[in-house]
Amino acid sequence: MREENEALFVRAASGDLQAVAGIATQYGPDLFRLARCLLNSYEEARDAVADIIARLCADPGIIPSGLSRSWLMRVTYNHCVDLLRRRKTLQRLLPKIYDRTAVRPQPGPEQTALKTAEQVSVRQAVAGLPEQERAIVFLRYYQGLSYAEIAAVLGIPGPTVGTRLHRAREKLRKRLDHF
Amino acid sequence: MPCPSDIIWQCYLDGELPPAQYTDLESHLAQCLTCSTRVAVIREENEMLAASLAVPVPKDLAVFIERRLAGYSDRGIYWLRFFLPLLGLTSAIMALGMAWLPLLAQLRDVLSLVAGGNLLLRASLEAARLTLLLAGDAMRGSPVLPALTLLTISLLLMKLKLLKGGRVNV
Repeated sequence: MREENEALFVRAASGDLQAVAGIATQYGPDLFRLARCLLNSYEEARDAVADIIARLCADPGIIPSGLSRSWLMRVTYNHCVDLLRRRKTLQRLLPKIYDRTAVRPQPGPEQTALKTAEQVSVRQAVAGLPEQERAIVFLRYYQGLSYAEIAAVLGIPGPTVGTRLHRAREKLRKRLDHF
Repeated sequence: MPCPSDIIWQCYLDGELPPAQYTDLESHLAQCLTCSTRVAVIREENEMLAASLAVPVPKDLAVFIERRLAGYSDRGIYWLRFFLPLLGLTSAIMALGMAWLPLLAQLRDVLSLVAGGNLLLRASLEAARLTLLLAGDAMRGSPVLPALTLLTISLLLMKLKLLKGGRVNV
């Protein structure tokens, strides 16, 4: 399985478009959804996922033995946290440049997929959570990962996941009276 | 059995409790109207969260990856991400050596007098001594040792961070 996955990345690196499409289909959706949840931007999430997969394709030697969804999720989480940190630094040090370059949240294609106003407000409330709590809520309730898997993705102890998830839910309840 | 807290019900619904607790909780749930209402609400919240976080994946993701991949080559990656910072650091050490070496050496001597038994301060001073040594080499026009040291440190850091989840590389 590992050899197959690595071969897929090697083939993609050598310009095999079918392999690139295979990677995008196999891993893209999970990574994109996590990046979208963390970055709050459709375009930035798409760029981040393209960047991650392209780097893995360009340098398949960095893929660990036993490539797992958790490892890819962790790489995505780390990459998004780095992007958010850079965004915050730019905002603090060069606010004028940040204002000019910042991506404004615009109704993307996903807005049409949200069925009710309630779902929109829940999404907004989740977006207002700190990045780690946001990731925990997303990984648990959308990706369906267990607490142990979430702990492996975020690099935190297993029992902490339950506590932070509870704290995040409390915050969401406060923000959404009806939730 | 007293009514369990919300966090217990959350773990119960997420299937994260030890199997022994489930029997107790289920029998409590069958008797307690307050808790069964609470569990129903939490379950509804879970469903709402899952529905709200659904995001359609861009159809052109593969095209974006192909474009991004076209911008990468092994040579480019190593030059930009590895040798360029290395060159910058070596230059910085050379500049440090040329301008500040005598002053820093004096400062180190003063600090070592007050360091005494403070292990952390002594370790910092040792690190400073090594930096000064490298800076001295660089100043004398022999940048090989500083460059090799930085190369080794960079490789170790990359390896360490890769083991932690690849923050450096990806």
